[in-house]
Amino acid sequence: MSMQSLALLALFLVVLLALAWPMGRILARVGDGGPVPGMHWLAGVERLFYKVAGVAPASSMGWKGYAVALLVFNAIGALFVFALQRLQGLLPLNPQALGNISPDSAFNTAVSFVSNTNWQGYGGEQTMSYLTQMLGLTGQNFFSAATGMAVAFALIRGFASRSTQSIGNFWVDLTRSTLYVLLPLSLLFSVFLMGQGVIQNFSAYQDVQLVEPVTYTVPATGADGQAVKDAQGAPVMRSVTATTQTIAMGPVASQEAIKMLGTNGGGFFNANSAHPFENPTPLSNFVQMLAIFLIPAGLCFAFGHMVGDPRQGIAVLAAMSLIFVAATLAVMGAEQSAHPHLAALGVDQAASAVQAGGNMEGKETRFGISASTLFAAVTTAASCGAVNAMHDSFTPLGGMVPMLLMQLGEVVFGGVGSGLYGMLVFAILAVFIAGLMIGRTPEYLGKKIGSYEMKMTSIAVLVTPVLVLAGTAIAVMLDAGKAGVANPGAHGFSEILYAFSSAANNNGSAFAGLSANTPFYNTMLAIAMWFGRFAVIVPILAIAGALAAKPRLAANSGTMPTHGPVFVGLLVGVVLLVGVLNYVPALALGPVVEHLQLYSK
Amino acid sequence: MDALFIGALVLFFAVTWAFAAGCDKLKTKGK
Repeated sequence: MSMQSLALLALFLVVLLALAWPMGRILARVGDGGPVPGMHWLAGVERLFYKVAGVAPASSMGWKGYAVALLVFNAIGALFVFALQRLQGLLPLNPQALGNISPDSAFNTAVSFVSNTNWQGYGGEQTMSYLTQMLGLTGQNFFSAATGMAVAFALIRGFASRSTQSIGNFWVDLTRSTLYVLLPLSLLFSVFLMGQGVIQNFSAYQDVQLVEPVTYTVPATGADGQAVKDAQGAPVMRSVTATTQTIAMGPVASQEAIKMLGTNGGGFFNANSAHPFENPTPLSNFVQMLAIFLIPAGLCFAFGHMVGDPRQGIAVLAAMSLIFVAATLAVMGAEQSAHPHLAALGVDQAASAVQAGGNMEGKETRFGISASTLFAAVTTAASCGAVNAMHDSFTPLGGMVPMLLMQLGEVVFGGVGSGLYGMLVFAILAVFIAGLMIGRTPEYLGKKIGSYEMKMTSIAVLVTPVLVLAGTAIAVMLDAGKAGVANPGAHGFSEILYAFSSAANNNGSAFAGLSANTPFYNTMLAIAMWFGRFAVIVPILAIAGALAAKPRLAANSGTMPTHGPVFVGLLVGVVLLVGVLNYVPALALGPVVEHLQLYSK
Repeated sequence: MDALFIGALVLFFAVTWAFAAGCDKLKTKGK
């Protein structure tokens, strides 16, 4: 690992914390319903929305009412995005005259963007019209992020309130999160991105003449769209000569901003943040990483403010940061290390002034190993899924860490809202385990944790491993699942495991090499994405409702402090233990075997 | 095909709703 990598990580964390603190103050005001500093003028717009929608902002909801409103809103959103894709050929803002999306792909994409996953089985510039990108996908980028924030606010209220049936009003939380946080930040960020060179237009794609023809090989595909393989199972390649290149255009900056801020991750272009029109400069790359973590980190501070003890938020943030730093160092170390086969040939793989060293396969030379590996850790620790390098080309251990970060449940900063509520569920689990050890009724922030809360916690923690492991098992057993694998063996298994880990944990990034735009994967991954999102939200809202109804007890000499280093260590231990117990056998079959194969001869 | 996938979305919603109702029932049983 180079000093450059360490310096970049340190700078990233310092800037992030400096920005997250004021962000947390704003988020706390958004969550508690009060006027937001500097944005009083938007209060009239907020009231207008409620009036038009017929929402009574003062009315409060129990957890079931909150959950039903959330589910109805998101189900309607999914139907809308599905319909938009199926009709895009008839709709305006489609200069390339792109046709309607196939039903299974439209279904997958609708669920993907509603669930804040943004898994993309399609290539954006070859598939989606500008209208679909703007109205369907970007719209859901805002709404899915606001949904996550709303659930986080509801859970915080469950801890903060005293003996009440209410956990807030979903429509108010959704509106305030969008109006006061996501829209202003996205506006600022998209202007910044345009300044860096991200495009924003409605032009038709531009054809340019190449200086000299380029001949390259691509995998041959059959009538079913799948790669053709020879008798040995290797993909059949065909030569193609290009004399012109088509440069895709579009309203990219406006989608790019919320893609990062909302931890959505779905790229306008297929190459995502490796595309120069999405991520043109090292500065845009750095700020994009900050944008991914800004709201999740800010929500930790907001949590502390809203429960009346800022130390609680800092403790949660500390636990997240510890895991994140360890994981980032692991990826950086793995990618900067020498490849054993090249080392055996005597190839110099050390970083120097003239070369990056290490493993540069699949990475942009303008970002290098440091900014690519940090981006990989950030995007998978958060449930973003944007990529500026191809994770499939990482070393086996370098690729395993992003996979593990997703499998931990996207609680290391995690998604907007979902990272915090996921980590708070682990905090409940941690105090329960501590309570068992010291023989006291578990208690967190003055709320006694009863059997019902533990049942809901167990469900919330176990839903995603079931979806990931069962989905992977089904895919490797069926021909339809194995048909999409371009790299048979341990790496192919990793590609499938990564896909289901990404889908069920609502990340959305992908190992390349898996042809997932098939009816089988479109359907299976849609199941994983929907239930990985909403079957976790439901028990969390149930916990919020149960906690809200309880009195908040004052701390006494027997209360276990949950703001100190002991609790932070316990929380980190619980997150890692649950993740390791769930996934080590599966990881052993994929990246661990591949790593051992690398060194076997 | 469209009806199939729209039906699947409605089914997802219904199953999640039923799941929420089941979570609520667990509380009643626990008392």
